[in-house]
Amino acid sequence: MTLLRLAWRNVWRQRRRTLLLSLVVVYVTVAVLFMLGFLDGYGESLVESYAAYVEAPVVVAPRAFFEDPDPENGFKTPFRVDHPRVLAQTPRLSLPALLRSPYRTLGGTLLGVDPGERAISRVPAKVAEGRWLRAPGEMVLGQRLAERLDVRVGERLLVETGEGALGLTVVGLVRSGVSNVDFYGAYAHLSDTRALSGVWATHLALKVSKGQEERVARELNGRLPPGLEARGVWDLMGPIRADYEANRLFFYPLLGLFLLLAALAVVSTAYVSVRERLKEFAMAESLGLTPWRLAGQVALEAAIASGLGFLLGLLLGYALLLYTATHDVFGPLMRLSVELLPEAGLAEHLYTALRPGYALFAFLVVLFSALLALLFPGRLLLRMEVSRYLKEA
Amino acid sequence: MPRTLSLVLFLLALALAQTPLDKLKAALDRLRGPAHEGVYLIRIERPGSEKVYRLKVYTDGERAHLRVLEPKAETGLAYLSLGQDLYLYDPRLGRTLRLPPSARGERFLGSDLTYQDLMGRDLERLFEVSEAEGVLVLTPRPGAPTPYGKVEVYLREGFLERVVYYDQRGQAVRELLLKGYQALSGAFLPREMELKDLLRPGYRTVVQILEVRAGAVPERCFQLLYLERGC
Amino acid sequence: MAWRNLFRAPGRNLTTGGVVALVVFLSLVFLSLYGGAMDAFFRLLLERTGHLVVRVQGYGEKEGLEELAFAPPALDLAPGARVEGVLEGAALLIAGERSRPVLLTGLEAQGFARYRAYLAAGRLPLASGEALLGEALARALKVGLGEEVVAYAPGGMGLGVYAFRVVGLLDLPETLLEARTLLVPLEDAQALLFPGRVTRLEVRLSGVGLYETAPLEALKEELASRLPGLAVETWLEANPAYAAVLPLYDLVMAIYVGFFFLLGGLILLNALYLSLVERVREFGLLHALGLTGGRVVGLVLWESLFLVGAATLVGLGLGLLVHLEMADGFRLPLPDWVLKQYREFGLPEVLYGRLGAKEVLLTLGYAFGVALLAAVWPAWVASRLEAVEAMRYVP
Repeated sequence: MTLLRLAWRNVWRQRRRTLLLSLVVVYVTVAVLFMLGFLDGYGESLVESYAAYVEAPVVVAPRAFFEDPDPENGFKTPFRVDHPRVLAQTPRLSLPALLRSPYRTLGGTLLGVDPGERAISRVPAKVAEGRWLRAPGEMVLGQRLAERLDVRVGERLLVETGEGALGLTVVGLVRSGVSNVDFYGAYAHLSDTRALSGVWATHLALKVSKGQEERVARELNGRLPPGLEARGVWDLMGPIRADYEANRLFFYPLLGLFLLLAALAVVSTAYVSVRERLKEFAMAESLGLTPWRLAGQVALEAAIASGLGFLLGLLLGYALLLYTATHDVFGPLMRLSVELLPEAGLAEHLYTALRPGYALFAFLVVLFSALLALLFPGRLLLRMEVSRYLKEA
Repeated sequence: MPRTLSLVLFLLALALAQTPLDKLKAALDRLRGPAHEGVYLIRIERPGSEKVYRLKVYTDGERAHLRVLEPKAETGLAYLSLGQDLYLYDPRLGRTLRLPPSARGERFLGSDLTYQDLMGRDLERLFEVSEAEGVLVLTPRPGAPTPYGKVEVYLREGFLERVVYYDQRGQAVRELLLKGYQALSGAFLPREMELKDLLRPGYRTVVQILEVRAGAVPERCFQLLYLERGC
Repeated sequence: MAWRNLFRAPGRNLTTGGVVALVVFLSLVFLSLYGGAMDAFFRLLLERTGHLVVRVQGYGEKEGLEELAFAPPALDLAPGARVEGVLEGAALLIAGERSRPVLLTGLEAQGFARYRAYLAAGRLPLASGEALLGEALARALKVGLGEEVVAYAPGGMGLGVYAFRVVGLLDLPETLLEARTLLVPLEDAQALLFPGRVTRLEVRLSGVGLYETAPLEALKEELASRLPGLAVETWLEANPAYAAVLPLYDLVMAIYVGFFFLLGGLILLNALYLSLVERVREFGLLHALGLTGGRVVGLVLWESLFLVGAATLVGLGLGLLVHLEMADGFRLPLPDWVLKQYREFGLPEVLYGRLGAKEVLLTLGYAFGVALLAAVWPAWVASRLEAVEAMRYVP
């Protein structure tokens, strides 16, 4: 009889115990899966917001502009990036200005864009009222900004900098679900912003395949002319990135602790089970089985017992993740966060991620169980005085 | 008979040759008057209160230098308008400051008048002029930094009589009335200007010319240096 | 007897007790930490808003400085209460070639005094024509102390333009706020925007706790009756998004802690069942000796309660000790760069732990509940044992 089948049979000899400790393992596995999916979902949502709405997957600008974001430090002459992984690129001009409707005045940042930048940004696809820009003299606002300014589609908004002023007609309002865009987005034609600033652009937005952003930025930094810098989406994120990182730093150890505690529950059951069967084991040893083999059997039993819970936990956990990955369960929470932190770049929905790798992390519970079973109940066997138990028989 | 006919034809041709923009320009020329210096009275009426300013004015029809004489608390406040540029001197600050061009639409001394009403030509600069039933209808040029949706200019015999400003939602918001045009060394000047806030009953500003002396104004009056010390 | 039984399986009970103690400890530390963070946010909000805010009625819909600014009436308040007038408006701040949109705020002397703690350079304004700029704003405009800036504030009833000398630079938690902060004396703001008027009055009381609303409501009612045409709000009413967070906070904390205790409870359940398994014969004997179902249930329940009780005491003790340390001030155990970024959201680098009776009771309640619930099923099993079968039990 193989070790495995023996271990399996032993595990099922005590069904209730196995079921009870499975509960613990199932709970912990589901918790681990869900938290990891949530964290990754949060990260993905931030990347999505910043890459497709607020900034771009990769941004190239003069280093001076990154340090001192004034149009004065932008590109004075046209510039193009040459890299095989750059799928598309477009210039943008970021201009701080006073936005005035006949009713209200607010400060903001006007972004001069090429009307055809659909290839890089999703904002043009999120026009809720009116249409996207087509020509100079037009502008598009985030819906919440338009509300605050009390300006409607078709009306003119005054844009003032120290250099000059323009009256731009609002042709559309966007509702993207991303806070920065809806609350602060003001988009105008590049030529209008050029007229107000005197530079060609402040930065270049580059489209790059998902997941390639940091790599392309690194490669570009190796080959861009001196004075220019490329930054990937994670470096463009702003303070909200710290919240994401902090959550990861907090949750990974905590989940690890959970897995360890679950393993402890498994092992304490194994301990009791071994204590009950000491005579059995003594007999087996006297028949020639080595103590290490016996200890190994105990470890295997612990692994199987926790493995059952682990598998069931995987099923339930991934089912839960599948649900929360397709249904916006966290919507209300995100909407409140957006109201509190409109400049953070948060989106109005959050979907969990679904990755097979989570199972590997959760598998630690099985590994911990086997290891601890070797250490504690296993040690009992290794130290056992066979004769003592045989005498009792 | 033939001379009357040719005269009529000539006048007709003259009238037809004037585009709406020409008419506006001519009317605005008449509004600003000849080069002159004078004392203006500005009365700001609000429900339950009234504030009166006396100003010394120097202008050559294109540029203007204004100084506050009364009330005593604001004596010394001075403004200089040089076409596009607008400057302000405040004795409290002790400095001369430049106002951005778009500031011309701002209130002058907190009244219902704007700088542009007193000394600007924004109407021809920022608007396209057309004519409908004898009334000049002004609509903003593309990109013009103005909050108005439409301006109606009523002329009487080539003189600006009434200007109504509409917001972008079709509501009339201000009304400018000009009365008492007087001839002054070959040009004209309205003796009284009234500005009514159409959205707020009881809000009105009246400008009256108390004294006026036509004639060339010293060039130094239009130099920044003299904004502080007066000319 | 329940008590003595605990000592019979010291290894396992110690481990289980350890887990429960750990859960209690972690819960208390967690609650203290989050309590401290919440307090920090709300304290900052209160500091900026004041206890009560007086504005024009219907200010949400009103537009333009003319409608929003009002002549401040004299509020006769009890001694210890301070009123400050504030006039605010959007402006373009120009320095040479550069300009930035800012929120120009005119403050009285006592309003400036509150910013002393944020002064990174220079001093507070003492006279007309002096201004404080956010550091980020000064950087963006490339101006330093002693240099001049010009504020152009359209849409008002005043001069519309004014010059200031930069006498101080402010380091505020949020860089984005810093980049649009311009603080000037109230008279200058009035000359620039609207002589004699303010956009709001801020009332600050002394000796009122952070979440105490009763004295605020009382004063609010009293003032509202004396000020027709003006709206009086408490600081929470003036910040509805934040006010919405408060009731949610309690719920979210309860759920978080619940997750910890669920784990603890499941582990406890395991332990109780195992202890039952080890003593099946004993239970059978007790049954035969007359210890009936109900009393057996009681025995198991009491064992659970003792175990959890002892562990909770340990966890509570340790948790409170750590909380006391945290109450003196602590920094989140995160890398420096993360803490700096958190500051951008208004979270200071040093927090103070806060643990109220509510939080301790929540934890104790969970512990008690878990002790009972985890014991229910093993107790039921124990009470259903057949005496003879149990005594002959061989695993």
